[in-house]
Amino acid sequence: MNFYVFVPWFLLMLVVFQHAVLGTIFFHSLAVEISLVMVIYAGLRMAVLRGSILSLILGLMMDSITGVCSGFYALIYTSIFLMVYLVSLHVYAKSTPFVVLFTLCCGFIEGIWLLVLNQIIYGTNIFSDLALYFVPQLVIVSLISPFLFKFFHRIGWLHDGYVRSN
Amino acid sequence: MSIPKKYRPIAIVVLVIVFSIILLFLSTKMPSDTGYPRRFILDVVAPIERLIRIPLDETITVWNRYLFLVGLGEENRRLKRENDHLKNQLLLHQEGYLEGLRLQKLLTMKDQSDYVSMTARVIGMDQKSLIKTILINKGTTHGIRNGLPVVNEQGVLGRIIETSWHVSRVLLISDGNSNIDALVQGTRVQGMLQGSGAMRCMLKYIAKTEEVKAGDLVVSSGMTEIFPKGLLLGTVIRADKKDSGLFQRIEVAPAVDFTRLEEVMVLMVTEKKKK
Repeated sequence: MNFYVFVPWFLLMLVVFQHAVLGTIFFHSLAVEISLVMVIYAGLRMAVLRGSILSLILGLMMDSITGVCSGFYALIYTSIFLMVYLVSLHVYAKSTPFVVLFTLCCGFIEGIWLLVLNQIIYGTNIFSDLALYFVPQLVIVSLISPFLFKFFHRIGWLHDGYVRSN
Repeated sequence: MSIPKKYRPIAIVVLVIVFSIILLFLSTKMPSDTGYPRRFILDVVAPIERLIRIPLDETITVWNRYLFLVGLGEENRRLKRENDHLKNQLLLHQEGYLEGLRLQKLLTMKDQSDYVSMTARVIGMDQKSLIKTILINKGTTHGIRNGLPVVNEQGVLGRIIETSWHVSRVLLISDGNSNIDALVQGTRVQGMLQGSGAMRCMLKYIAKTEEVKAGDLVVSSGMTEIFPKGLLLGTVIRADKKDSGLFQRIEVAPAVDFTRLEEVMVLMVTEKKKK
């Protein structure tokens, strides 16, 4: 029960931290998307219902913060969650190199989603922006993902004692 | 319809994805005012973000200022070095310019003179000893010999009394051993200009009956072969007839400032210019 009480506020803080603190640290030229790592973590470690709700809420919050239409990030995050969940059923996902590489892969998939959805919804081609900004921030996110995994793992109410071990 | 337990997790996720798609579809097809959840999130996020940003922005400002100051210090040091370098260069250029001016005066004088002359640089001064002399950087290899007059653009300095191959010694007219046949330019009265030691000369053997006053110019008379006629020797600064004896006591200030000698000209009085 704790999960459903704390998760909206936790995710709110996460999004604010990502947007305000990391944005300022990187001079707003790079958006270090730790929310993506949260979704990947949820897909690998958390229960399906909790993980999918968390991804949905996180996506909706990202929609609000970034100003895109509702459902934009929600769709991206939930679909990534599904993909991660399906992968987690077949692989051992605890080693650090796997986490880094998998985050990188998920980041690329998110990039493709962003490209496609922008083209469909807004009619804009953001390929050059993605190449310029998205790739470097993806590398940063991938590198810090193992540390974020450890941090998320320490938050007990995210799991309420249940952690998937694959 | 019940979903098999095995597929329930996937069904949940698919349900969430479908919800997202519907939400996205609705928000793009039916744009409306910002919904309450979004308003709530924005209203919550904005103050938190501002609170977080204040110390961060301050830190960044302080850091940028520190970097700016570090850059400023480095730039200051660089500019100081550059300033010193430029000062030295300016000094060199000023020296060159002043030397050019002096040499120009000497050249003008050289052109006006009837005699062949040789420019020399003063390389040593000995004005505090008993004999007041200077050393120049030309000697016998350049054709210098004893007795030749030495002048600059101001007037007569003295004459060569000693030569080596590349250096010569000039006896200044202010030395007590220097005697030059001279005349007062205005009255054409002739006398002997003798050095008195302390940057002064005495014009001797001028009778008390002659009219000589302060400010009169004293020039070489050309009576001897050493100094050509008409070279400026100095200016009368005092003429005194009160002394006992037949002659006046006339003090003359040399035309040349011996403390500021750098380039001089030796007149080869035996060689006349071919015009």
